[in-house]
Amino acid sequence: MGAVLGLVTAVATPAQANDAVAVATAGVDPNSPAALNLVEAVERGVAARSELKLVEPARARFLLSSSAPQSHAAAHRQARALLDQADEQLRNFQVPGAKKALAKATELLDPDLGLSPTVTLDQRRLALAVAVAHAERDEEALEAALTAYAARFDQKSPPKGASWPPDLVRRLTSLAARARSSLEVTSDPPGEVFVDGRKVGNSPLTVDDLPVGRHRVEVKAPDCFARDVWIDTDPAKVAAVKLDLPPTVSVRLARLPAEGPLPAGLQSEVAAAGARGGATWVALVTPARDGKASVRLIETRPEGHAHGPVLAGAPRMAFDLAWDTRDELVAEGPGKPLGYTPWVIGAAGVGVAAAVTGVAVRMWAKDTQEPLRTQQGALTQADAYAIQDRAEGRAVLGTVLITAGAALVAGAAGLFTFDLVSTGGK
Amino acid sequence: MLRLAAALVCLGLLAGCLEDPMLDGGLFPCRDADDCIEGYVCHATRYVCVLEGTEDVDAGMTDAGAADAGE
Repeated sequence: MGAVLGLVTAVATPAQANDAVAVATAGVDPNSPAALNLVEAVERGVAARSELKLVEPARARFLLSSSAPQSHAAAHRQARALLDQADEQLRNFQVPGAKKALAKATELLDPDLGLSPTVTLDQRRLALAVAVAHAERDEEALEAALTAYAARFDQKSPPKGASWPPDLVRRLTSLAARARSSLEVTSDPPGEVFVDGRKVGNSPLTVDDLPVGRHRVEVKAPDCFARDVWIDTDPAKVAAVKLDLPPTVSVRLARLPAEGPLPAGLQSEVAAAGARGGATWVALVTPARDGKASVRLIETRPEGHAHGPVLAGAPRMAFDLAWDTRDELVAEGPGKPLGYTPWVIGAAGVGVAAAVTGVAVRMWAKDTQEPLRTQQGALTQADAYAIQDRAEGRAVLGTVLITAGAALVAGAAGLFTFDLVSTGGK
Repeated sequence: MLRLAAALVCLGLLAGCLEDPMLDGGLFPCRDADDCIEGYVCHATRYVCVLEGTEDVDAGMTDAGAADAGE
């Protein structure tokens, strides 16, 4: 068990290509109770799935690295300060400065526009964008900002504190009174549906009476990454959104050198993974504070993910699955077969065939000599020598074929041995 | 597989080993010079191929026979 600790391995053998297995431990003291629990948990997790095999030794090492979604709180704080600055400058009729600050704030908020954390900031941003465009007499920008505001916030009046002239308020009221649209949202698994950062219900659902325009739809479900999409709604038809939410528990396995120290930052999770039939099984083990561990099995297919049983309560983790098919694992893992097997078999087959043909040709050559024995005394010298010449030519051809065939077989044997050694004899 | 290769070579060479039919020195019947190879001629009376230049020797005699004849 201890041998497994500190190693990160991946093995895929020619004979067991469908049983590729990766085992990883990292950042764990091999002698600690927690570490022993981790390994036991992995073994239990692996044993729970017959298609998973826990294997030693290290021919490949994989790095488990967290890729939890980054928090944009800092960017939001900066954007808020820039909006304050733009507001102040606008009040002092410093329109270019306000426009510049607004552009920077928009850039910072852009990834999260239309999502819950930025609803208030986005409303302020659009209200300021309307005021700046109006001050600059930029009709195109004004129309765009008013339309976005009306669609996203569905309000007939500007936000509090925004000093819009009466004609702008009238235009906003007019836009808000435009035709309505509908939106149908489904997701796998079902989750909470947010439209423009505001919760509207649980999927599957249809949102009616939605302002026509561009909306951001987001679905959130427990233990899954939230997914979102921008969609333009149209009064003529029901817009449809379907979102598949990947589970938050998966692993990123990056290739590491087979030897040498593990890089800093390696996470303290342990994972075992196996691949079979196009799906990858990942067993994630999470050390808990009390020294116990939990294991979660995940089946990952190109078309989606499915959670396996959680053997113990696992804290929420967020990882990305860097590879999810056997082919990718086999292709990238240093423990992969070198790919010689088909060529080795082919070369050996051709070699054997050539050698057998060579034997047959030499036997044919011997048969060619037969008249020299059976018709001795009846053959003319010219005929006898001609027969011997033919026999010797055939014998040479046979020898060449046998030698070439044997060379092919020997070469195939060498490649096979090399392949065997490079894959650790698996 | 290396053993297989070696075995193939041995088997092949053994299975098709050419025997030496002892063409050199053998007696071959002939009707004319075309029946004999280069360097041999058809003996005019005994109708066997003999080395060129030895037509006068009693054709068909072996070395031993020739030795006996010379004794």
